[in-house]
Amino acid sequence: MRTALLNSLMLGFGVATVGVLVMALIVWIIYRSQMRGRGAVEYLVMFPQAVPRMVFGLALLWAWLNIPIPIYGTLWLLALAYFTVMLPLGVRTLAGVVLQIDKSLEECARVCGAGWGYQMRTVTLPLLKPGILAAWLLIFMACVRELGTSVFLMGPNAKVIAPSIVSAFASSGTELTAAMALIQTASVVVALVILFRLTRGFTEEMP
Amino acid sequence: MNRIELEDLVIRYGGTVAVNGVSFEVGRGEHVTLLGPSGCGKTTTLRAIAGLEQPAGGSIRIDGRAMFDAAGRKNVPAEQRGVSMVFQSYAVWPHMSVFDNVAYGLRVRKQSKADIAANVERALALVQMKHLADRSASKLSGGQQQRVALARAIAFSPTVVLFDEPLSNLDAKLRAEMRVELRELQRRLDITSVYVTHDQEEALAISDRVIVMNVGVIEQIGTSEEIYNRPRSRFVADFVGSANIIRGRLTDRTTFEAEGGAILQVTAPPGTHGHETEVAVRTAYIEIAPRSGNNQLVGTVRQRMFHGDFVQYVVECSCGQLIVRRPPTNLLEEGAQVTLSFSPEHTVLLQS
Repeated sequence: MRTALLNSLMLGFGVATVGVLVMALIVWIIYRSQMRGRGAVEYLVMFPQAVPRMVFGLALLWAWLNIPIPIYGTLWLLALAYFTVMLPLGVRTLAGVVLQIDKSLEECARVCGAGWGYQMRTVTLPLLKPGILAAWLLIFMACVRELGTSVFLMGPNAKVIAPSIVSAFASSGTELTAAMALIQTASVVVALVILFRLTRGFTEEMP
Repeated sequence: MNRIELEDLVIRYGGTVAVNGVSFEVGRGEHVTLLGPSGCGKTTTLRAIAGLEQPAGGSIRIDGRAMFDAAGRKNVPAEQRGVSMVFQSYAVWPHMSVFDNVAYGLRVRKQSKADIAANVERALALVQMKHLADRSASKLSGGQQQRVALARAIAFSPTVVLFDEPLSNLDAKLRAEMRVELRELQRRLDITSVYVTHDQEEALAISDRVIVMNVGVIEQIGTSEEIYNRPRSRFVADFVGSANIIRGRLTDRTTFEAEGGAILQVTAPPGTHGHETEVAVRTAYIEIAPRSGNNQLVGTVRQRMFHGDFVQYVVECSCGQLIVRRPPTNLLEEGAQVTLSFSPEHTVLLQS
């Protein structure tokens, strides 16, 4: 039970952190680059939203049972699944912010002599900061309470909290279930409060 | 030697052609303005020089170096062209201080800390913003942002600066002030500039040469006076300044029979061939008197509009309604019988 909670928090933290950066890059490619096939990428990242989570979890289960990379039953498969199902949420959140950034802010950096990497680091990412933070929080919370895909993908050594609460309800009754649900909610709230404190500094200086 | 040379530039957006075969040169230290209505391709041309648009054909050379060449499949990315640009939206980065904004191009070029400080100070002093170096760029007014954008564009001592309608978001008074300052700055810094605007007054005031564009092609290239006094086409006469267009036919090389029968002496600029059917007369060049000149037309004042610096009259004549702008002295009443006169020099035959 404690490991389940810790696993969930860890997954939430890891998937949100790595995921948000990858998603920011995907969003930039879709809306700002001239890359071929960027329209197709936009459809592709929205696709997980169209598939029921349970179906998606089941599909991943079968797929990874047959693929000879032994990540089934580990947190890695859960991380991969979470990243995929969170794609639409993260990409939509970030897209709103990227589209609001005046294109000439980036173009000006290029004309000033900055290459793509320098421009991303000094102009695009700092301007995206509020969006990145918002996406991070949303993904973190969604990961910690994720149930649909987790049901099929968690193993005895990779328990996460939401399915554990469901099985507690089936096996142990309401008291334990209620207690676990309360702990889950409280820990998300605590994590959020800590995060808001830490980041208040740089969200307030933004206009 | 020419700083910038464009040859037969073609730029397409999907199926539409935004720029269709544009060629011109900009000399060293020269200030050239691209003037035209929105959608004429002037901004697209400027962005192609900066490297922000990829043309479909033609070539762009800066200081003799090919920056874009469709035939040679060459396209130098924006960050390696060494030109500078002031954007219409200013594009001042809100998450940086004024100092960091201006220092950006210098930091990219890996200048030393001392050099950066000195160059930023010099650039900010030129636009009278030295006292605000530490302020966050998000706390600036429109006029101040404009100055920061300008300082940033000149801080790394570029030889070519491109201006994309830099004054269009300022109010009329500030715009007039900045126009004077810009002209002064251009002279002082020995930069070559290409300036884009749809404001004909601004174009005439600040340029060595004006390039008038319409629907992706160049209508006329010339000094401000040439463009104003010798408009080549009806479009230029209409778009730059205000002009009356009188229809009729030529009876010999310089005699024009206007519709309604009036006979006018006209100027035939080089390039006209004798079959033209329109002449242009600037509203400012028509004398209006209760009665007497060369080209004389008798008419009636139909409308008087007081603009402050000038008064605009609509006068009904045999060849149609003419618009006349005069100083606001000796006002004429609506309905008054008047004689309009203007010299042949100001009666310009338009190419058809």
